[in-house]
Amino acid sequence: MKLQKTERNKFLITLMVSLIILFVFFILALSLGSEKINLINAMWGQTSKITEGTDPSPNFDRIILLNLRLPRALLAILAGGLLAGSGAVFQLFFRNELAEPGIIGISSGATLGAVTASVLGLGVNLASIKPFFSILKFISPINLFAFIGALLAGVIIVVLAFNKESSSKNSTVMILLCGTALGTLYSALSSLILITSSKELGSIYSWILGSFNGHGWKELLFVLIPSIISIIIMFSIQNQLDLLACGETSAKSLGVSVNKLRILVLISAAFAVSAAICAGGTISFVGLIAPHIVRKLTGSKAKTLLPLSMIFGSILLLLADTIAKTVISPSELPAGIITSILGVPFFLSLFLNTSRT
Amino acid sequence: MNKFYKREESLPLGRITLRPTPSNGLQTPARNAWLICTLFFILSFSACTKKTVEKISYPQSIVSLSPSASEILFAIGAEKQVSAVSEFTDYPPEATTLPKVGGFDGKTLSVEKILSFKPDLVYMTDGMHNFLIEQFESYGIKYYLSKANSIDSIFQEITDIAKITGHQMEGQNLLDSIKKEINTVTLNQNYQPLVYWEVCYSPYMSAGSQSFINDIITKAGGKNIFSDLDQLYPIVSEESIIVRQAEVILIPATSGITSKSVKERIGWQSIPAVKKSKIYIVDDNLFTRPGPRIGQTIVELNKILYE
Repeated sequence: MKLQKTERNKFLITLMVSLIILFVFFILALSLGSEKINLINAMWGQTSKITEGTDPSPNFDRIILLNLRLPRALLAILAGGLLAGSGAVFQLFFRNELAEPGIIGISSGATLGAVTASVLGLGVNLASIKPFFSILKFISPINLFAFIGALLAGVIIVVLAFNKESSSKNSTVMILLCGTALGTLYSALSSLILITSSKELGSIYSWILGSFNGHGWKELLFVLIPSIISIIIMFSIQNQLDLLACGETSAKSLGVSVNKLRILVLISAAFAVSAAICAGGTISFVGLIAPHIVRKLTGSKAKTLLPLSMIFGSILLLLADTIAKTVISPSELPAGIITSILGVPFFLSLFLNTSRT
Repeated sequence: MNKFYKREESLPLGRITLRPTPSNGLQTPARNAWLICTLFFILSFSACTKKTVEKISYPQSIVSLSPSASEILFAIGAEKQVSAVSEFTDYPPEATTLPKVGGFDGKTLSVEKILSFKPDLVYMTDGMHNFLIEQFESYGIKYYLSKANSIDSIFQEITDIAKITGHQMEGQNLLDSIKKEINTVTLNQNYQPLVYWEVCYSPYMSAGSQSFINDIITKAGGKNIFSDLDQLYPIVSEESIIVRQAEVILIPATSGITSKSVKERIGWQSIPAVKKSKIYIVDDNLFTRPGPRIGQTIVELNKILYE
C-alpha cells in the first residue's frame, strides 16, 4: 500500500530524526562505561605505550572500545530492533496493542534451555564432544541452549499453527492460548529445575534478568544469520499485515493467505526473539513500548510502524544498556531491569490516556 | 554420654550449689575426726543425690543444616551427637554416612524431616534458614544460628559450638591448630598480589568485600580487585576486570570454566594473570566453606599467590 504524501513526509522526517538520535546514543554508548576512556586515543592512539624500564602498557582505551563497547552497542541495537520489530508485527497481526512475541512462550523456552544447560554443567561436558567444539568457539553453552530452547518453543507453535487449517478468528486465539499455556509450562519447569538443583545459581538468575555483560563479537557473529532471516521475513510481510487491519475474513477476501501469513509471523518472531535473547538475555517491554511510541507519532500503517519501531527499539535498548553499565559502576545492573522500570511509566501513561478519551 | 556436674555461669544449661555442712558436739580431736568423717560422708552423699542438683546435658541429637556446620561438629569430636546432616555434606567422609535432611538453601528443606530426628539442637546458617527460627521457637527446639561471614566469626562459632556440645577442649585445640596453620603463611608487607575471583561469566560476577572469600584472599596475602565493592557477589563490568589488571585469577571448579577459555577471551590478553598463565582452578567446596579447614585453604592460596 502506498503512503499518502503527508504521511510519507511525516514518515521521512521521523525516520531522519530517529536515525540521528540512534547515532547520538550509539556514540554515547561507546563513550560511557565503568572505565573512563579517551575515544581519540582509542581510535588513533598507539597499540601500546612504551615507557622506559617497564613492560609496554597496552592501550586500554582501544581494547575497551573495540573489544567490549563496540560489539556490545551493536548487540543492543540489533536486539532492540529485533524485539521491537517482532512486537510491531505481532501487534499488527493480532490487532492488539498488548501483543508481543513473549506471549507465545518463546522467551520462557529460552529460559528453560539456559537453565537446563546451566544446571547440567553442559559447558564442561560438551567441550569434549567433537561437533560441538566448533560451535562453542562462537557461543557459550548457556546461550546456545537458550537459542535452541527458544527455537524449539517457536517450532512447536508453528507446527500447531500448520495443523490448524481454518482461518477463523478462533484458530488464532487458540494458538495464542496454546502459546501462553506452553510458556507457563516452560517457566514452571525452569523453576522446578532451579529449586531442586544443588548448584549456586546466582549466575542464571542474572542471566534471566537480561544483561549484555560479557557479550561481544562472538555473540554478534552467532546471532547475525537468524537476525537477517527474521528481518527479511518481517519486511516481506509488511503489506499483507496492513490488509489485516479490518479483520481476517476481509483480508482473505482481498487475497491474503492468512494461514501462510500466520506461519511467517511466528517464524520471524521465533528467530527474532531467539537471536535477541542470545544477545542480551530475556528483556521485557521493548517489544511493547517501541511500537506504541511510533504509533503515536506516525500511525499504525505497517510500512511506517515496522521500520520506525525497530529504530526506536534499538534506541531504547541502547539507552537501557548504557544506564545499566554506568549507574552503579564498576558493578552493573542487568539491562532487563532498566527496561522493566521504563515499562511502568509507559503502562501508566497508556492507562491515563485511555481513561481520558 | 556426657553428663557432667560442674559449676557453669555463662550457659543457661544448669547450675549447681553445694549444701553447707552440719556440725556435731564432741571433744576436740575426736570431734575433729568426726567432723571430718561427717563432712566426707556428706560430701560424697551430696555428690550422689539428685534432689537439688540440675544436670547439664549436652545436645545428643544435633541436626546440621549446612556442610560447614557438619565439618565443625566432626572436627571438635561431637560426631556421636549428630543425628542428621545437610545433603551437601561431603567432608569428612564419615559425615556422608549419616542420614540426610534436605538441601542447604532452605527451598528444599522439610521441617517434618528435621523434626523426625527429634533434634535437641538445630545448627543453621544465618541468611539461609532464618525462616525456621519462628517454628523452632514455638516447638521449643534449641537452635544455633551460624553467622560465619568472616574468619573471626568462624573462630567465635567454633568456640560457641564447642561449649554448647561439651567439647571445649577439642574446640580450643582446633582453634589453636587453625591459628597455627594461618601463622605459617609468609606474608609480604609491601606486596599483595591482585586477585580476581570469578564466580561466573556472562554476566561476570565476582566477590565483594562482604564475602567470605574476600577474607580468605586477604589473610592469604592477596588483594581482591573488587574489595572496594560492598556487595556480596556483585555483577562487574568486563572493562573493570581488564583495567584492574589482576595478577592471579581464581576460578571455582564447579563453574566448569577452563583456564584455556579464559585466555581466549577477547581483550583479556593484557591482564598480567593471563600473560603469565596464573589462572588457577580451585576447589570452591573448600575455598568458600566457612568451616574448620580454613587454615588449609589459606595455606594453599598463599602458595598459589606467591609461587
